[in-house]
Amino acid sequence: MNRIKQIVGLMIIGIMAACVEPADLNVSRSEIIIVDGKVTTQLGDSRVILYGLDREGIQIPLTDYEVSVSSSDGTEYPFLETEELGEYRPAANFSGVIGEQYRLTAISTGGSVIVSSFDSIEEPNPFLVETVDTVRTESEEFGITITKEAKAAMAVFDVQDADYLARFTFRYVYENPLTLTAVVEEDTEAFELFSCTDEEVCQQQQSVTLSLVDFRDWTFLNPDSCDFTIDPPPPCELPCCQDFLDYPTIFTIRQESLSSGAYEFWREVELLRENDGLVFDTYPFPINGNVSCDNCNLEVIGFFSAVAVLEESELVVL
Amino acid sequence: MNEYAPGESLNSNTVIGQREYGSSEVISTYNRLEPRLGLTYSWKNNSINLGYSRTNQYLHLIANTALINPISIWRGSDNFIQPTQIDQYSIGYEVELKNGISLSVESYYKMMDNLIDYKDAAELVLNEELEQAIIAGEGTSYGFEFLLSKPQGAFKGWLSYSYTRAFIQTDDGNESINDGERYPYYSDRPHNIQLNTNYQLTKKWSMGLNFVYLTGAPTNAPNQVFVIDGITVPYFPERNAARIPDYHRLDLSFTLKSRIRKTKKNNDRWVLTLYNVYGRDNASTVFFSRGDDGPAQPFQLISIGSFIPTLTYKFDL
Repeated sequence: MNRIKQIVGLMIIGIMAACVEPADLNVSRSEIIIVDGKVTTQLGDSRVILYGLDREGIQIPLTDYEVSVSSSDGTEYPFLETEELGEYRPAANFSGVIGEQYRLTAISTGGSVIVSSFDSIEEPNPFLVETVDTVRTESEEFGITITKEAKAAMAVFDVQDADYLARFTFRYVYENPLTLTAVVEEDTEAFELFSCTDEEVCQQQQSVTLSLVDFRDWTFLNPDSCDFTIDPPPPCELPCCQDFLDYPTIFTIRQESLSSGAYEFWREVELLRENDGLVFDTYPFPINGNVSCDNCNLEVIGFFSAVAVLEESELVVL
Repeated sequence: MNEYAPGESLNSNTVIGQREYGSSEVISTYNRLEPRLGLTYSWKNNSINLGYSRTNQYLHLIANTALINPISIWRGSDNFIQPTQIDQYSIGYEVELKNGISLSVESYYKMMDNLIDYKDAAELVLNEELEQAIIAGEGTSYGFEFLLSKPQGAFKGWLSYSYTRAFIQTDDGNESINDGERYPYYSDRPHNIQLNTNYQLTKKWSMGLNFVYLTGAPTNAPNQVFVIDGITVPYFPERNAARIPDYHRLDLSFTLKSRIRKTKKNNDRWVLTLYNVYGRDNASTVFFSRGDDGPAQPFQLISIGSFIPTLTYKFDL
């Protein structure tokens, strides 16, 4: 059904493309306060970011707030502002506990109080990382045959319990063989949500597929001589250099277990970001978070979440 | 059809069962009265009109105008969607002035019950459970219309201006839009100006002018973009808080009586029409689309956004 929707949508886009031009809507911007907070089970990973957006859309960090995270038993964990203005991190070693609930309180010097609702750290589900060969292509470039291979990373898991909600992100790391420095590639704008609320479905093996990646980068080749443009060149010539470029890569998938409230928030984010003007878009809407402020003169939006983090990696040699 | 828990909003979580209807079995029936009342008082060349009417709309138009190709879905009333009931009150005044000129002014106030709008994040197309995507609310519409017309003479035509507003408020106790605050309905286009004139320049030549101005329709536009956990998110404030660009267009026409056919009752004529004289790019809809990077940007679908001359030969047989 989704494929049919995409095809029909693209057909209509194609027909209408000639009559489409950028629009100037002259929209007056709202001044808003954003709360981006997270408590995780990983040490050093919890942080709260507070910033405002002015009428020009410029980010203004909110500094000198009294920020604390409290658990359901009333224990308070103060957060202090770091060198990065508007970013607050735990004053002492702190990591969230699975099964516990946490909420955020941030008080400005003027007495405005931003609070969140409680969010609970849900039990994560263990998973494995598998890679799948997806596309293998050959092309003629620089007078030689170059083979390109793309792989997809998958998180594969057996879900035993119902009501399993999670968000997955993905990165890979490889060492550039010429400069011998680690290259971290992360699509920070990509994530995948997983929802499993039916017990029968949950008990089947599930998987989440993340980014397709093509690691080949031939830009440093000199097409005239097939010599590398970087000095010094590697001690070989093509085609043996093709073997030289088969460098090992580490795929890492990060899982954050979500509460139902956090899942609904990220689901709304996903819907807003998926809309692309096609006929099957959902109608845009104001996003709801779990933060509020009774005595702020600006609207406060955002989400404070408490998540359990699991990361798994796999080494791949293309 | 789904059966839902009583008193709950219609969504996938409140489905308690399914009911099958046989072929030609009645699903729901609505019997409504539709009274009308009209009073006119005339004296000399003046008249005052008062009117009241109650109508019911059993066919609902559910429009999603935030797309490149606006989608309108028609849905009949059923056991989930009650007919829209409209009560309209109107008062008007007309007067015949000198030289055949007439002036009329009319004002109206309309109250609508069970006016349909779609919920936030609703999917309308190919949705087999459309009742989960829509919500009923109360609508209000009011305005006045002004019309000046001169139907005869060398110079004739009419000028109309109307100011009308249309709002909707949705809060069924379980769900709401805009936190239950009223917002502009998709048909809310306050200013509407229309000028249509024709001037007989000579016995053979006449010239016509047509001008249209219409306030842009309400739409949804993100007025901020924020980042949370590295993810860029567009921020849409209230429903229908923005407007697509206003629509306006000027057309000119020149008519020349033709003597090509030398017949007694010759009404043949050449008509040169200049459509959209200043080439206004009028947007029929505005939608948002993301490029490779960054947040969605607004684009408008243009309906005939260029100057178009046409030459026509008209004749009667």
